Amino acid sequence: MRDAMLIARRLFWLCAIFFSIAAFSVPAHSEPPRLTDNGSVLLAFQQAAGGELPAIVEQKEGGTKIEWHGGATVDYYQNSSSGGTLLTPVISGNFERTEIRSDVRATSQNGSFSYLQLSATNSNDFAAQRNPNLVNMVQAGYTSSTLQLKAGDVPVNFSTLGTQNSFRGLFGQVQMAETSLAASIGYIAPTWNDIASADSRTQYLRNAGSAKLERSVFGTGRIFATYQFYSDNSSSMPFGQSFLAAASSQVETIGFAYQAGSLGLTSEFGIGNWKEEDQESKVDNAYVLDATWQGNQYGLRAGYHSIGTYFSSLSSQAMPGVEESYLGGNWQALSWLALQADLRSSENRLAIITGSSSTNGILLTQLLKFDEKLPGLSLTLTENMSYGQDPSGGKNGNDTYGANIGYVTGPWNSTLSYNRTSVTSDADSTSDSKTDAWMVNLGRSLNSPTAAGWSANIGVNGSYQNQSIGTGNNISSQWGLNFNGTIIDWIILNGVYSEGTLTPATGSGAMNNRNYSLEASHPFRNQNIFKVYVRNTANFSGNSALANEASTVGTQVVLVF
Amino acid sequence: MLTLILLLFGPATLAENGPGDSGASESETKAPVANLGDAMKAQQALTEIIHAYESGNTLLIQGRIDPSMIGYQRFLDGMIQDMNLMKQINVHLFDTQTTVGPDVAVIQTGWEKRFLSSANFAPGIFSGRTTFLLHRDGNSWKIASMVGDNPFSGQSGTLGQLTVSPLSISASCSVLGCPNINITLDDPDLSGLATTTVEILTSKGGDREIVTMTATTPGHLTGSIGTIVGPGQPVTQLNNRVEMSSLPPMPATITIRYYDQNPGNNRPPSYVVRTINVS
Repeated sequence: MRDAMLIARRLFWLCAIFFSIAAFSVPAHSEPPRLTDNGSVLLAFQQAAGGELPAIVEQKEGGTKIEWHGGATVDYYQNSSSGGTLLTPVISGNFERTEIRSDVRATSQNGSFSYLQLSATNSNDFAAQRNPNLVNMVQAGYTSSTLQLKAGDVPVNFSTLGTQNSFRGLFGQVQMAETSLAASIGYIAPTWNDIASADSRTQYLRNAGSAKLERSVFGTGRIFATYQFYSDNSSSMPFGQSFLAAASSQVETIGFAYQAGSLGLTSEFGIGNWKEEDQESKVDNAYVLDATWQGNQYGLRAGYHSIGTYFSSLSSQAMPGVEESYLGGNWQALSWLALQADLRSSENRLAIITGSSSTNGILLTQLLKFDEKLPGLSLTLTENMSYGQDPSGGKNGNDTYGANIGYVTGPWNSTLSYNRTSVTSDADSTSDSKTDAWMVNLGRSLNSPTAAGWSANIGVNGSYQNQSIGTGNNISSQWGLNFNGTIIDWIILNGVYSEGTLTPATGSGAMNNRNYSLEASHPFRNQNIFKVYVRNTANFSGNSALANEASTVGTQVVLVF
Repeated sequence: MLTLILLLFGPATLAENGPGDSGASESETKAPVANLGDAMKAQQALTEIIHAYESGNTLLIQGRIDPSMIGYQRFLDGMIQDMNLMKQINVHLFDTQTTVGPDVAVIQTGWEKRFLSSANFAPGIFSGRTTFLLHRDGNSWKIASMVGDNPFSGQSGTLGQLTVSPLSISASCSVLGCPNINITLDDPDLSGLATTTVEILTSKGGDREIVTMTATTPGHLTGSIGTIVGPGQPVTQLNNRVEMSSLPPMPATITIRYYDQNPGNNRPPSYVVRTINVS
């Protein structure tokens, strides 16, 4: 009760401050525009924004363009939590979080383009940010018709088996007629802080590099070859601090991509050499082939992927140990009927006993719309089945089927859905279950009768789930209310409230939960925003070991320039 | 060599680049950078997927994943298995960094996943780091791949975390009694598994023991084994006790290792290792 009064008192003062600012702030469109010279404009901007300004350099033709966008977001908030870190990530205390963003771009008359983007955050909230100062993203670059250079956070997307990753380093690409050559080198590390200091590292620093040579052929086709390597720096972590041995890899791939009208075809083959420290190296290969065909009324897709157990590259897609094939398609059979089907067969060489070493899956979806007789009414039927076998020969599988009815008329929208999911596993039969789930949503949108006024959306939702597992039933029910509304140039409100109950199959006390959040934002001076917010998540349980609560009350200012 | 020759001097036309898996070539025909506001949209797309996972909405997640993603079926099966074994799932992100290009976005983040076990409602927590690769699909973002520890699907790979205590053992501990080695293993890939084993090796004397680890919540297993270190201690393998002679040469180490079949981060099966110093 005392905590609730404290929160209510803080909320009252926050609202008082908020409405005071709202009442006396200058509406965005109240001042008439003024015409003056560039110098006066720059001076006024400097007085408002502070710091140095980018210089506008005019060429003879007056075509140089400098753009500078940036912003800052400042949060001050107070958390209170109970239950411990095992039950909630929220830490009690007073916190601040400041994020700055800057985007400078220069476009010259010959089309070349230079830029510098930076985003960084400072926060003393350990739950949100392990390092008080975190560089979210930094990238500088130069682009012309034939050359591209980047430095900083560089996402590299060369090929499915080669390199699809984010480097912290350098990237360059040169276009020579129909041939392009690209290369990247740097570190792969979770944060810039990990590169700067060993104190925050939880894994080895990984040195990495990749290159790609590509050429256009046969109309809309391309052939390419890639090379990539990585090597963990074993001295970058104190002895005994890493779970894994340092590893290294070299991978070469070749491939092609072809598009002819509705048909698209891509394929790639790769060979890799992977080695753990003090172990023998292992050679393995990978192959992928994907095809798509898109017509007016239907589309088809098919593919085959085989990734060796010891094939390890810089591609986030190349999962070792997977061999799979798939065939799928979608068809607008009639104006009111759309069908979708997906068939898959996969082997997982890394499966453990409770996983599937081989699986066959099928997904079927029907979407019916009754536009002629009942406009706004739609029915979606889905069936998703997967049956597999674990490494010891035991069977496992899951089967989900469901129906979803949606109805939209005027300002009203609603959905009602039902799902039944069955999960079975010979290796873990105590977890076999059948789950029935119902969900309902009802919403209405409101708008002011005048052109520039207000708008709002209100919704209620509910769900019920009964999971029959082991010797009992886990039953959960939840209902909620959500609201968002806007008065143009004055306020934006967002609110959510929900509560529910979870009754465990173990027979122990039911767990009740309650969640709410309320945000009120006031825009000022173009895109700037002042916001106050309050959030609360609580779980009350007959079992005191599971009870937990987390509250946040805060303010936020967003400045955009 | 033949490939290089074809690439440099092979047939070519003046046609524009076709689509395919080379996002770099496609993106170079458009503006080379995205706006910082696009980063917020990509993060919002990931947040929606996380909320769908927490609420058990597998159909929404299927719609946000590229059907040609390698390991698609393994990912779905693992996600459904996780949702079956866990209740009140809450995924908390920290140290989130987003880099956005015209057509691709990379979100690198740490995460903590808290849940209650469906079987006994015991609380559990997993943690890891993931890099999400998203690609633009019209006005929305879809997940093309994930590398690192997978927060949604135990079968798609997460590095097992091995914790042992004590971290050091005195060579003269036999005087007052040598401690047990307590081992904790957290590996979401083992969700649903009742037991697994870890191996213990000594650097001196050649002892080798197998410890059975028992699950208390999905993917959280514990076990222990006694030790004896003393002058001239004989060593017998597989007798459920770690034995080592304290006679020179010293110091020595006791290595506890777990074979992680699926360590994530696109890494082949690897040993996860912890060592205890004996001196």
